[in-house]
Amino acid sequence: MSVRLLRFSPPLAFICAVWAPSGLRSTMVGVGVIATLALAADAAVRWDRAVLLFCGLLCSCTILAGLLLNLLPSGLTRVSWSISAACGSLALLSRRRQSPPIWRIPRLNPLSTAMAISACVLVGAALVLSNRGAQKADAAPLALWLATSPSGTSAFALSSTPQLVDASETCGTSRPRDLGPVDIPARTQTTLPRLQACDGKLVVQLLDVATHKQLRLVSTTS
Amino acid sequence: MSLVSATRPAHRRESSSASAEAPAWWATPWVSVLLSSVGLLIHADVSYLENTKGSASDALYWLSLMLLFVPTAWQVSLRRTSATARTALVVMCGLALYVTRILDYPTVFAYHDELIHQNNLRLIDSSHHLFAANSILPVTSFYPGIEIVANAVQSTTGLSQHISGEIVIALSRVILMLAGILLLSTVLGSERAGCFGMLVYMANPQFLFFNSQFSYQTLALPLAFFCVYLIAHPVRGPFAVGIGAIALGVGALTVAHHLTALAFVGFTAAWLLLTRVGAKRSSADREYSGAPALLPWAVGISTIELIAWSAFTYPRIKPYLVSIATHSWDSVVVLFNGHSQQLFANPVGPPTPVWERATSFASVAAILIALAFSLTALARARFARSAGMFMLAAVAAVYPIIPLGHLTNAASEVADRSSGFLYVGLGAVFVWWFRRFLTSRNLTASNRRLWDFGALIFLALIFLGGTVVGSGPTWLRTPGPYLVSADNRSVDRYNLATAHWMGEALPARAHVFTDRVNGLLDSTYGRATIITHAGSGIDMRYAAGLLLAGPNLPRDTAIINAIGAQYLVVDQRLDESLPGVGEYIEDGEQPVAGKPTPIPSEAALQKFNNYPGVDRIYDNGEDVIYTLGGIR
Repeated sequence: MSVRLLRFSPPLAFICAVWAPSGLRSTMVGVGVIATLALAADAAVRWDRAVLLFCGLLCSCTILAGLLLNLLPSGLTRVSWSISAACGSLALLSRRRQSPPIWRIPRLNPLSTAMAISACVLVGAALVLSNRGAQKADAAPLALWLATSPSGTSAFALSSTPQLVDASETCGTSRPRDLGPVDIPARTQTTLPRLQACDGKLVVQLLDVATHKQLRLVSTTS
Repeated sequence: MSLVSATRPAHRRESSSASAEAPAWWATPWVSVLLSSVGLLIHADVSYLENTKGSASDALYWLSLMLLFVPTAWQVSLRRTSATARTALVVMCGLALYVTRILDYPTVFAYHDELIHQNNLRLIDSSHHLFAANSILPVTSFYPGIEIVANAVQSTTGLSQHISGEIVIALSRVILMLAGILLLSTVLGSERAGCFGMLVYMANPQFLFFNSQFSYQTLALPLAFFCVYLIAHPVRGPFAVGIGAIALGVGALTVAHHLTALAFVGFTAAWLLLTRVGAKRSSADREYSGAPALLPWAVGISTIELIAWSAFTYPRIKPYLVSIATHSWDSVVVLFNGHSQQLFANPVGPPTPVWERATSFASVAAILIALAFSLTALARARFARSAGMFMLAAVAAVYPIIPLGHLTNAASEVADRSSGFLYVGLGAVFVWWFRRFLTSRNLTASNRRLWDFGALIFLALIFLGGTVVGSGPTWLRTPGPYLVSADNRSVDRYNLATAHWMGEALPARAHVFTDRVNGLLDSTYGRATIITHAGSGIDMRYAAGLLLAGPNLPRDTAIINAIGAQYLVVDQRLDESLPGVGEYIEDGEQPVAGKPTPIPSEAALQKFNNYPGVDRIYDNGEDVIYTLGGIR
């Protein structure tokens, strides 16, 4: 493919990314950005300077483009950003007359290759490990809440782990009414048994099945 | 014309001996890469253990950081390492240190400033326009540089706000490292020296922690470096193209961060002034001290852009800067009255270990000694008359404000933040002096290696010490069990669950009164308008009683009416200890000025259960949300 045709590929990637499925979008944009850098690079400029100029001007142009897009009624949207990226890429590449430089990938000996692959595997393992730790730490706790609608008040519970709890409700000064055991599946919003109409203060509690210790409590006044 | 001089040779690419003999396998750059990745894996393990077991070995934490830094520094010091490998390794080292922050918090932004800027990003994403009001720190939405770039990444790729933000920080880090290496290489005349200078820079207390947060300075600082690079090495092409590139870069910098833009204008103006003074003093030195052709243009353009943007943001920026200046001045006055801040004081979490304190003192001492030697040598050398080097030396000479600033609370923050600029000067003068010292002596190869080893020890010491100083209290470094009002350590599953629930169940922009960390999360994930002094101008000393004072229905009703609160979020753990960052809600809450807020009583945190007209609509075991509509 000639350079003249090749330089239309990054803008095309940015535009197509608007309609691409979400999983593919980031890949298309990433390829578009890297292709723009590769095609726009000047053979006379060393890689470090080329990368610095590209990244620095990319950030600067993006910020100023953001200010301009803000003036449009539609503002900063996926479409306006994609069109801006395509225009920017086209403007940059349309000035090019000569072929892009050939970026040589350094040739590695087997030992260096093994070390490079090992390094990638270790970094990947590090990311997976830290993600697992964070997911364990951020597991949502058992939560109880009330929502009021014209048809009445409802109570909901949610937890990241399956829970079996007892529920009860109290209206005003009357004795608590047992709502029975409630099975709360993991990560599924559970509606508690229908609450009775109450003129005074309605209190809903979740209790530990074994000890009947109060776990959660919400209340509302009609 | 570069930063330094036309008479000096353009910087050399030192890889002379690379072709002579192939390095042993253990001396190849890939070994440094491999060791760095081992460091990252160890760091991930520390993070995993902190998240799941609540504690991890401190030794492992520091080992992981040293594995990222020392092998790279060692590889850079080897004369046979190629220039490309050196530059790539130093950039990789900067990125790897940033990746440790991702490993600590891989799924969310957890620090105060990060959450404020993520909220700005959310506001842009939901409204599709800039400058939407940020209720916690309004000034930040008027400097939306980092948010604009993150929004561009998020909108075009469909990635989450968090990942988009991380991509922008990584991009900023690449700009910072490359611009720093290339500028220092230019000033010092060799790429190896430039890489060493950047390794010194990486020891600055802000490098690992603050300047790798999703915050406006994180992008602004690299942009400032980039703009200086554009002045020293104009973009190829007609003169107007060079000016256009500078106008673009400086414009982005001005929109990105107020103080960095101001520092840039000050730096370039002083640089220009020096070149003019130098040219007048001696015609022989005119060429030596000459300014880059674009420097006067850069000064003019940056001044105009700064004034224009500041005029736009004036109503927001003025109270913010006045408050910083007032706080810093007050703390200096307190210092002169004989009351200094207790160093390494820590109201929550474990105390800073003795060896860490000793290391930080040793690193400050080492820097001060090296600074004294290098500045003295520089003053005697003709090289000092170079405007660029003189500027960097002047910047380095300001270093003592960093340790001195730590004697007061407010000034320590200002001093620490200045380290992102000052360490460029330190990098330049240290490396210049060390190279001059080596060349002035006729050293044998083994002696030279010994001195290189000494330089490596020095680098490791100042990196360790700088990291200890920059990390603040020990709990601020890594994830771990909940601590009261301790920023990252208060962002836990309970507070996150509350914020996410709020985002789904409550109307957007609901007026919420709550503590510092819940406020950050509830605005970012819960779409709430948080009632603060900075955002609403309320008297926080009065309003804080709503959350922190004991039961008093008439007073609390009056506060609710005065501040217009619709919901109250109470973290029932606030009575466990004093706040980690010195305040439960916001600065100014303290009932007696200058004294810490007392720990709230359990009765204060439970009082709304008994107030008439208040509904307790949400409970997750630690956080409770009340509606306040019925109490008015």
